[in-house]
Amino acid sequence: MRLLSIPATLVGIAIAIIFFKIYGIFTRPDVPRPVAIVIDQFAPGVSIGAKVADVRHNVAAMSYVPHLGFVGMPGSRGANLPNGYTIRFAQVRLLLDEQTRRLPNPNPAKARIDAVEIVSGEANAPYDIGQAFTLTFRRPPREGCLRTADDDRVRDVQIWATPNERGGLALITDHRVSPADRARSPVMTSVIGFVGKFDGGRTLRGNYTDASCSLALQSQ
Amino acid sequence: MINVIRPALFAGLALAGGACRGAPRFDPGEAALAAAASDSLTVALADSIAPAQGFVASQAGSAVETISACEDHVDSRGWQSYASRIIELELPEGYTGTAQTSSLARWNGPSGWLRASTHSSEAHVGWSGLITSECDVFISGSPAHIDLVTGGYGRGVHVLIKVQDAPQIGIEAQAKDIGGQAQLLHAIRAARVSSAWGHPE
Repeated sequence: MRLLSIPATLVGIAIAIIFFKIYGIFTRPDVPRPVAIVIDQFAPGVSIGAKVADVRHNVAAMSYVPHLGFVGMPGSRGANLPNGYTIRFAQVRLLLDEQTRRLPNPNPAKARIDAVEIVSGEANAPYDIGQAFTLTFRRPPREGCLRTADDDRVRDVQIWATPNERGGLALITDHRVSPADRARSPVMTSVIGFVGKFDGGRTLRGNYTDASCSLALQSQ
Repeated sequence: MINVIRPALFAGLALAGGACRGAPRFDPGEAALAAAASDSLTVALADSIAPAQGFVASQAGSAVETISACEDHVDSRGWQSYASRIIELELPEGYTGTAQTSSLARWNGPSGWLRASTHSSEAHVGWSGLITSECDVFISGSPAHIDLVTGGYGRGVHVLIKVQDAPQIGIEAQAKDIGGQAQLLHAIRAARVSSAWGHPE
C-alpha cells in the first residue's frame, strides 16, 4: 500500500505542475505591463510579440538590417514622459530572435518582434528617461557596460527588470568622460524593451559586461 | 491501477521537464554579427543627426567639415543691411556692393562674394561644383531650393527662389571656408525679395 502511495504523490506533483503551467500561460500577459506601456509611449503602435507586418503602418521608412531586424522611424503622439515632456526618437528597431535574423529576407508577415529598441539623439534623453524609469519601477537600476568595436567608445547600460524577471527595460547611452567627448558628436540613447530574463549581451545585442563603464575603463 | 498510473506519471514528468527546458543554444558568431549591426547602425544614425545638432560630422576616421543646407545657427548680430532691386539682405562686416543693375546685384567681402540675378533654368542647372547638401525652404515667402557645393574656389551656396508673378532669382555665393559658407547661407535664408523685383523701372 505504501509503495502505491509514492507514485500517487508524484502524479499529484506532476498534475500540480501541469496545472500551474497551463494557468500561467492563460493568465500571464505576454509582455510585462510597464514594458509594454513604455514601448507604446516611445514608439506608438509597436509591441513586442507582434508580427512585423502588423506594426508596419506605425513605423515609417522601414527596412531590414540583416542580423538585427527591421529598422524605421517611429510615430509620435506628443508628450511621452510622465512629467509631460517629450523625447523625440529618431529610430525604432524591431529586433528579431537569433533564428529569424539570420535569414537574408525574413517574411514580415511571419517574423515576430523579439525585442524593441528605440533610439534618440537628444542630449537630455538619458537623464529624463532614467528618471522616468526609476519612478516607474521604484528602484535603482542594475548597471553595466556595452563595449563597441571601437576600443575608445563604450556605452553605459542601466537595466530595470520586472520583479519576476519576466522582462524589463534597458537604457543605453554613450559613456562620455571629458567635455571634449561631449562636444564631438550627439549623445545617442537607446531604450530596449525585452521579455524574459535579462541575458546580458544576448538581450542587448552587444558585448555586455556587468561592471559599470567607469570601472571597466579603470581596469584596462 | 499501476498500469494507469505509470503512463500518467511519465507524461507528467515529461511535461514538467519540458517546462524547465532552457533557452535555445547561444551562437557567439551570430551574437557578434548582431552587435556589429547594432553598433554600426547607431554610429550611422549619430552621423546623420550630428549636422542638424550643430556637430561636425566625421567620416572614415578623419574630420570632414560639412554643414547641412537645412541648418541655420549663425549669429548675425552686428551685420550690415544691403539693398538692391533684386534682394535685400544682411551681410557680415566688410562686404561692399560692386555691381548693381536691375537684373544683377553683387557684393564682395573679405571671406567671399554673393551674386543675385535672374535665373531662368531649373535648380542644379547653370552652376558647377559638387553638391554636398540640399534643402527646400521658403525665402521671403517664396519656395526656394538650396544647394551647398564644393568647388575650385572653395565652398559655395546656390539658391533658386521661385517668386510668384516675377522671374526666378538665382543666388550664387562663394566662401573660402566653411564658416564663410554658413554665414552666406544664413544671409540668403534671411534675405527678402525686393518689392521692386519684377516691376519695370
